[in-house]
Amino acid sequence: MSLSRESVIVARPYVRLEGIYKRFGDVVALKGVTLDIFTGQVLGLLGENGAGKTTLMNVLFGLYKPDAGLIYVDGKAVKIKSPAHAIRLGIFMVHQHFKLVSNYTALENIAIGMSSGVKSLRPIDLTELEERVNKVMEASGLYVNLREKIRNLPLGVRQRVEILKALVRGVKILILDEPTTNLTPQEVDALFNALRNLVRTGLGVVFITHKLHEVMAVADEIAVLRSGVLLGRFKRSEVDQATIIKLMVGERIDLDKSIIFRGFRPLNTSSQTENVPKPELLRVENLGLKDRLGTTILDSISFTLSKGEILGIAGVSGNGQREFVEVIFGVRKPTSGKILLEGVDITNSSIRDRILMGMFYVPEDRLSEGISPTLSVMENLVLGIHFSYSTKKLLMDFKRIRSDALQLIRKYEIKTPDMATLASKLSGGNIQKLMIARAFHTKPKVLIAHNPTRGLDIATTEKVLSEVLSLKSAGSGIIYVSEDLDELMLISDRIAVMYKGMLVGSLTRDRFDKYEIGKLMAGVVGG
Amino acid sequence: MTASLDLAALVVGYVRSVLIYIVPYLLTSLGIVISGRSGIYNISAEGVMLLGASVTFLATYFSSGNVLVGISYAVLVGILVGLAFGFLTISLKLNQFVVGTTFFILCSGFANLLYKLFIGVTLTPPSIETLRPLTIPVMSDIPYVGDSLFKHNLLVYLSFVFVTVSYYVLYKTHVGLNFRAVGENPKAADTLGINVTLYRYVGTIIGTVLMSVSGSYLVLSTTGLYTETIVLGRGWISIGIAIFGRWHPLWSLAGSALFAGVEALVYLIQSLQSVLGIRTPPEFLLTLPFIATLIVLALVYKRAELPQAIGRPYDREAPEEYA
Amino acid sequence: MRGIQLIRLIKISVPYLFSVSLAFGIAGLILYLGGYDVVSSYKTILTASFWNLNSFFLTLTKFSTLLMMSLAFSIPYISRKFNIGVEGQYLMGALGAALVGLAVSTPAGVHVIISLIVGIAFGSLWASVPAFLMARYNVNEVISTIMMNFIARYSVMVFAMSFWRDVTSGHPMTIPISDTATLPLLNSSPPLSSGIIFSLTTAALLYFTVALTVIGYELRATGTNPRAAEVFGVNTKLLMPLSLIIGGGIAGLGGALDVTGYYHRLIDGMQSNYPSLGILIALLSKGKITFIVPVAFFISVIDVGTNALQRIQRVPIELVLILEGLLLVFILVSESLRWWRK
Repeated sequence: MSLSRESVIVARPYVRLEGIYKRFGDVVALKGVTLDIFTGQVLGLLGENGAGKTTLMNVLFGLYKPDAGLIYVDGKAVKIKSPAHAIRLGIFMVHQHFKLVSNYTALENIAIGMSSGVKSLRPIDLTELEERVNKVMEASGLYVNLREKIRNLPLGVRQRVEILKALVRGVKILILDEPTTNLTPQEVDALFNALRNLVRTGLGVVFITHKLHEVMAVADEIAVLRSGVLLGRFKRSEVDQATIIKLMVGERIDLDKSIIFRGFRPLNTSSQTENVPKPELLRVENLGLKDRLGTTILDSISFTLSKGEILGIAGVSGNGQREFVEVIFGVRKPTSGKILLEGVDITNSSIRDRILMGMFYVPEDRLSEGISPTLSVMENLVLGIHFSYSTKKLLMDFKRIRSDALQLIRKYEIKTPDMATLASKLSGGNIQKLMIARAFHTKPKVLIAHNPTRGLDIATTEKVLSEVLSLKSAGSGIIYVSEDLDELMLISDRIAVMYKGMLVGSLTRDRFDKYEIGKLMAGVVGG
Repeated sequence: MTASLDLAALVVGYVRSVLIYIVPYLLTSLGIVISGRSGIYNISAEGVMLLGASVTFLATYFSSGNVLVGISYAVLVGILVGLAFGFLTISLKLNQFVVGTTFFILCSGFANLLYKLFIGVTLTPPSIETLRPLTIPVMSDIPYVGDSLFKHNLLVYLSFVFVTVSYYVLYKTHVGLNFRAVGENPKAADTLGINVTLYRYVGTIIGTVLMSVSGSYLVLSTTGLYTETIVLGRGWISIGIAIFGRWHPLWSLAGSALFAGVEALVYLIQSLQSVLGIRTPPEFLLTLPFIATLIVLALVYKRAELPQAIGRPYDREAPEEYA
Repeated sequence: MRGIQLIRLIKISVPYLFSVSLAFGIAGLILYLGGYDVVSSYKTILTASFWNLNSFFLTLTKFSTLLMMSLAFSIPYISRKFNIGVEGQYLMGALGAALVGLAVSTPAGVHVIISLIVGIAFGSLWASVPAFLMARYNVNEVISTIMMNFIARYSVMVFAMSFWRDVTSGHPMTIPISDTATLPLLNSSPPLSSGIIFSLTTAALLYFTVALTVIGYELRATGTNPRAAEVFGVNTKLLMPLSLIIGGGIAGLGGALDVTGYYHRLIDGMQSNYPSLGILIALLSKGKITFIVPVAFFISVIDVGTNALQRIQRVPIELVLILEGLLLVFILVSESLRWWRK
């Protein structure tokens, strides 16, 4: 699919970042990065998670103060003191986490901060603002129901509200941080189209992503960042994918053995096992969940999971995935339906019983659900099976915990000064490794993983994916819920889609098609 | 004939006392709501009220009955406490419940300390003149309604004005939209140019000033005395009112009216009992407001709604959830 | 090696020494402005506990009460709940023990034991109301436990002025409990109750439970991140209210120990400022039992000193509360500033 490639050529960059250094404690996130940003074009800022792309743009947006370096906006040297200052300079950033007040309407969110001084004590009248926003919506092609509360809007629409916030304020540079995370393939196309429209009117866009195919689709120029260093800037039309991948990834990954970069080559499964029907491990029948007010959250979900199978669950975030995994693992009880593990009805079993029967879980939200921050790394590694380390069900056997923890830290390369260190001191990637280590240590028969590679760099992602594949070879069943369709297509045996609490479609590997799945993700049923 | 007149007088007297008792609950819960809407959960109310009462009493006493001096000192102390509380919770980002508990204990301690230092222990406690009621020109002549509603002291009228103004500013102006956004999603507000720190300091200080003045009222309204037990749990109950008022000024007004009603009821029953010659330990009735708080809190739990960011410190440089 | 460790130790203790000096400094300022002799006041505050055996035993007795109060706050604090209701739970435990000591006759050997058990039961029951409201209706435990405090205060008032009232005394209190219901003394003259053995034993038991048992682990996990604990199978819905009830039992035991061991009767207002002091001790110690013991002792020394100061120089006893409160504030401030300097 092709996007119109018009871009307005400008001579002088609107923004120049020069020699930007930024460190957080012991970690140097940016090592003297120099980057020009022009209006009238899309600049793809490409790099793996942890490369420093978001950090660099956060510096530009006034969220972080650089330790060294200069910033020029429109030719003048500036010190950007705050996001508000950045906006006044014509720069706006839309983060992965939308900065919206869920109880306010879309219009109210756009209105925050738009009036100041004595004028702001007047009674609120948003009609003028509404008119302005309507004009902007027409010009950009991004439509939103302005009177609706944010919490009732799907994620794709919320993203548009964020972009409208910027456009209404007349910004010159729009920075988007991993904007496709929560979009269906069709919504991604719509976004890319909108961006090209906006660029034609003179807006400059910085598109942060770790996905190569995205920059190849939408960017005019590509800048590659790795470990806080800018490795190169290319015109999209003048560079090839292989060069870029090499730059992104460096020498650490053996591209031939890589899971992520092999494209869609089939998995190395022997043809024999393809034909032998695998025994059933988990059976879910008509699972339903209603909340306190009677709203349906999960609607008649049925499926089976076989031994040695990876079932990928695709879908835009917010369609019930979280509730789905929680019900399967026992964090919530369903209002109807049955769950059978190896023939045993576990629908109402406690979480502990499910763990004892061989289930385990890697939750998506590592900080709020994954770890106990003020407990040590060692103690965190056994959360969930801690009771099995007790003598006579009472005293904890810390000696055994210590030795197991040592093994796990080595095996999963968890970077921590000491196993007694508090878990909160670990970096995000290492916390994720801790959660993975904890899960795999229990040698689960059924593993439920929700976005397990979110925010991880390429090397770690490779490791996690290979661990998942070895777990599958050992005969376990894995329910892999992810919003990253590309990743699901790499490792799943089957893909089903969650849409508005229903499980729709079930495509086996030979029938994987991104746009078919995208239609299911958007609720388009049939053909 | 006498029976119906007595009933009318009873009702008028009851409504009158409700309006007298409502003020401490109203001002304090309003203060808690305003702080809360900016994201700061301030549970030290009981202590700040006591401190305001103590300071007002001492300032008024030593300035020969000048009530204005008394209230000004209370406002000043409220500002100082608010600055300190804000510094610890906003700038240093300490746990708001820990700071709140500590300030409750500290402010109560200071309140009693100051009184003992300046007045000491006396046989008959000194008193000051209480606020005289203001009669509103035309309205107070209305039979029954006039007596119950329009013959109160200045602070009573002012508190209703505060509530109305707060509601208007919070919900009908741009400033209010920005202010509430700080309590719901400070990152969103920060990104759009709102000075989160400033707004939170302002919210906290308005809160503590209201709490302090609420304490002033206790001293200046009925007895003109200061005692260690003058607040008697109203600060804590006001936190409850803010909670089941869903952090909204008008619902807090309703909640305050409820508890003022309970308080007035307790005194009504007590006076009825003495008229009818029934003797029960006064303590039974005095537990009524506290039991009522427990019951109301349990009843409204289904509809609880808080400002989403309340109680959590804001750090612009903090990593996003999925770091 | 030794030198480096010493320097590290000094570096760590600087903020604490600084906070202590600042807190005492401000208290000194207050004394000065109040017209008191600062130097002799400080001497009294810090040394009064050690003047003679009597004052030392008094210190140990207060230490015992403060220890129980802070333990009662700290167990729920570990699971992130604020049990400000220790006051009410203490009073109800005292009331229960007094009830047994005044109204119930049992064989001499078990009278005390039953008093203590009833004290624990009353304290736990008192905490179970807020615990239930928290579990079932999500009612904030700060408010609910404080409401129970007020109700407890009134209950004690009524009890002290009813059937067993000591009419010879100006202050509301009951007649003494029967001799068989009193705790044995460790020393008769000057008297020291064996209550302190109970409180130290309670502290030791709680420490081992929290640090070394499965339920202690689960309690700590619940406090640090209830959501994560819940997701991985810890029964947080049970543990959080349970921790409140245990806290209530500890406070109730404290009240029972004071009635059977020290006062030998129920006195209106016997809780004095111990609940506030105890809460501040727990907050100063961050809920860690190993810190609570020495801090509680330190505060009881100061409390005895301030009381002596009040008798001798008429200095208000609020001074000890303010001193402790300021200490906590300065320590919190200096700890967070240390982070920034890093």
